[in-house]
Amino acid sequence: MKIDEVVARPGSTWMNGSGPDSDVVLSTRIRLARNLRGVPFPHLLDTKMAAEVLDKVFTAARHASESSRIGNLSCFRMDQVKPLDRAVLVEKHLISPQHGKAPHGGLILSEDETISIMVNEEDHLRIQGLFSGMQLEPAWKTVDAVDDLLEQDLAYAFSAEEGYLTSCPTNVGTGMRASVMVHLPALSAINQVGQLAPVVAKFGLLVRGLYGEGTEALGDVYQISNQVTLGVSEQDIISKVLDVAKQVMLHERKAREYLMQEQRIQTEDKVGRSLGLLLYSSLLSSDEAIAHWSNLKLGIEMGMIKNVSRKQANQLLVATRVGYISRLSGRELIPAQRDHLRAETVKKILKSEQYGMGDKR
Amino acid sequence: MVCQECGQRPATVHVVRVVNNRKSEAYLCEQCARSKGSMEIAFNPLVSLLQGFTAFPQAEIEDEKCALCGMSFSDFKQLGRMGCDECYNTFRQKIDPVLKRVHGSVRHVGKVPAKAGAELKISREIERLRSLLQAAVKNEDYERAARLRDQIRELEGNIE
Ligand SMILES: [Zn+2]
Ligand SMILES: [Zn+2]
Repeated sequence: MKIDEVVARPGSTWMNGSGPDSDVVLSTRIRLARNLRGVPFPHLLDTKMAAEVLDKVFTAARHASESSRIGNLSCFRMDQVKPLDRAVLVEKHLISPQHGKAPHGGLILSEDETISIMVNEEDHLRIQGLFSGMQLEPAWKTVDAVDDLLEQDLAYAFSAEEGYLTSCPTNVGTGMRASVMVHLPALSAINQVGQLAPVVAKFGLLVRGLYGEGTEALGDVYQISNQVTLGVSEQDIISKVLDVAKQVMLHERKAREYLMQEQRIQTEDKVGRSLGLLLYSSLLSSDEAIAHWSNLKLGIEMGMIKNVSRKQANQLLVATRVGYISRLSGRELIPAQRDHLRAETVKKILKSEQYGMGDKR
Repeated sequence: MVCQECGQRPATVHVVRVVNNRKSEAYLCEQCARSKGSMEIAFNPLVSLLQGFTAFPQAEIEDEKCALCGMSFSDFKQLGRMGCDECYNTFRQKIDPVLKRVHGSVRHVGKVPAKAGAELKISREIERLRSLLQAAVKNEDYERAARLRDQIRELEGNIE
């Protein structure tokens, strides 16, 4: 697999809208932080040692690849990934924005992009499983298996007291972060999202907007994740995130019912206007795109829009980002050029299945 | 402080590196740090927690350094990052209150890696069997209790 293929397709498996509870939950992610025993953490590594770590982990990944359990893994050196491609990998949630700035960063990726491993990021390894919809258990089973396979080749930094030892003590113990990305347009429409954070915090979890700065979360997309990693088991973390996410789902669905019964015309109007804007504008900023995306997705889930699939909508999340658009043109663009290309891209994706063929949901 | 590289812009990045077990430090501006290929240390909320932390046992030997990576505990307080796995051992007494504050616990109960944790896995299994044994005795199921006791003995033999 070539990195070109990965960054050229706006859809990842996590965006295909096929997972359970995909009406509210966009994706599930679990990542494990792992380090090698007796080797300084990446922030202290000189280039030579960093290169050795990268070699070791790539070798382990190639061996793991031979196992039928996880399929083929491809290894990429970050210094050979072009900056424009790197930006798309960030937008596809396959790497963090920091990744690739340290020497000898690496990325290991499965064919379907559900498994991605960052090498020499904050920790020697960050193993991530990324799935569509609410799939905490499958995501955990996957990263757990990958972790086991890699450990056959690698000596992990581990102590009986503190568990898996990590560069930042906030990750020590399980080294696990489980998060679900939820779309809450109806709760937002009735101004109930603000009440979410304190409730989620009571369970020791964190909720934050995914797009945009500050309190206003663009696109009404939020991420719910655990903070504590020590003194809790992986199963504890999963059930806690699951419990809270279920509550959030319940409230969002209730809010959608409320909109259907009490504010149907207003909602149809909002949804229809957004669809029109996405279909017919010629200049579309990224903030605008994500805001109207949110109404589009709500319209699909409430049955108001029938000829756009969930998968198409989810693809827009990546396809409207600055990095993806810049890469499409192959160069840095001035904002107006970008906005034009974005508008064209959105049209193309929305019309790709709209009239006729293609799976609808 | 001025950047040690260009001597012009203010130093905003603290770079610590280890080469052949020797620690080198530099205070650089962002541009120089980037051009030297240093990793940017992103804003770390732990650092502010550490600065305001008073519960550290007042350091008898504040300058004690990790034998593997050369980091001292004051480096950690500044960076909010440990240097290596051995740091956890070296600074255990000082880091425990931090872990307690962040996680509410200082003891791992999750996954144990197959190789690195083989013994730990066995001792956890022993703990589990002991609690079953207690229950069996309580229920006066002596046959089961005897079986469990044998199992425990066998496992204990594996550790020694
Ligand atoms: Zn400078
Ligand atoms: Zn150390």
